[in-house]
Amino acid sequence: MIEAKIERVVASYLLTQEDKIIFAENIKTLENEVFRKSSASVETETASLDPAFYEFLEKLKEDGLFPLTAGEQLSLLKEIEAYLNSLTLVRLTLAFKPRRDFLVKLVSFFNQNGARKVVLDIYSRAEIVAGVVLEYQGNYRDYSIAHDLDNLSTEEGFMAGLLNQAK
Amino acid sequence: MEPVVLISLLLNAIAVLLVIWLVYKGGEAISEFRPYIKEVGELRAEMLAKANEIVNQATAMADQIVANARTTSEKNLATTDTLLKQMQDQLNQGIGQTLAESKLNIQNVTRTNLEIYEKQLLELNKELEMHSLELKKRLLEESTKRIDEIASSVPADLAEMRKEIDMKLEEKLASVDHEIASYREQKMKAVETKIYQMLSEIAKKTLGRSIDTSSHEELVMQALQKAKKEGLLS
Repeated sequence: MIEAKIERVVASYLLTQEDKIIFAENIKTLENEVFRKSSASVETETASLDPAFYEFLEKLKEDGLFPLTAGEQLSLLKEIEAYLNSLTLVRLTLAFKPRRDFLVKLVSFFNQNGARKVVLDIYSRAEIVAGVVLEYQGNYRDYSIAHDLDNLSTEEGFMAGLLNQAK
Repeated sequence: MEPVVLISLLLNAIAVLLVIWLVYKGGEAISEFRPYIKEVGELRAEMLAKANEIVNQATAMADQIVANARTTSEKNLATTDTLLKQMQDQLNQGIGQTLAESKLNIQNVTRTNLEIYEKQLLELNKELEMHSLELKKRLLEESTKRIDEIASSVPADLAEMRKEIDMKLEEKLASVDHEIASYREQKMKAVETKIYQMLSEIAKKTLGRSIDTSSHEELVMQALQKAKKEGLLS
């Protein structure tokens, strides 16, 4: 089980499905290198790492959360790997390309309000105009403005009202 | 020597003696039958000679019969040829005569029939002409009568027809009005839908771009709050 402090750091770096893939690949690379050179530690094998994952490790060191011995470091990697596999995928379709800080906000929202820890799968489609299309735990819901616009046309008297206003 | 061997030898000797006696007796019996055998041989030879004689006689008779039959047959054939020739001559003569007679008969019958048909046709034509004349006359009478009737009732019918036409026109106009109204309604709806679709498309294309990022984010968060309220995240 991952420590709450470490989980917070992981959650701030691990936001999307792409992040999850990068994390998984980098953990695998580190484990292989450390096992291959029995004397090496995680710290000495950072050359081939993705910058984002490297930054994450640096953050752990900075916060004093990164273990000193190679054995403990490997255990931590295992814990992070298990945490990755426990995450639930949320697919969000947005009308714009979200910034990183908004993704943090989204993950935080789901982790606080949902039943599970999540990782985001983001799609950007301008056709939805605004709002979001949500796919979560087998549920699909269209909260987009395009969907609302489509629904308005079927409302009785809406068009007449619109035309009257235009006059 | 053993008594068993002695007995055996004795028995063998008795058997040999018995066989010799039987052979002797057989020869005696055969010599008794010999004269009869000779007699039977003579009888068989005699019968064979007689049979040969009968066969020879029968063959000679058969040959004679065949020869006689052939002669008779040849005679008959000659007679038949003569008769056939005579019959053929008679037949040819008869056929020629019959053909000439038949031709004449047919010509006569045909002529008679044609005359009868001509007569009948003439009569029929006459009858038809009469009927036709009568029919024409009746038709003319009938037509005149009908025209007179129609002419007398035209003013009344015209008024009736006008009334009927007016009524039908009113009905038709009402139905056309109704059709036009529903058609107009349909068309209006289609136009409204089209206008709405256009507006919607324009809105979709322009609205998104006109919204700034913070408003986009705000709209997403509002939508997620709604999803939470709808129990979608639990």
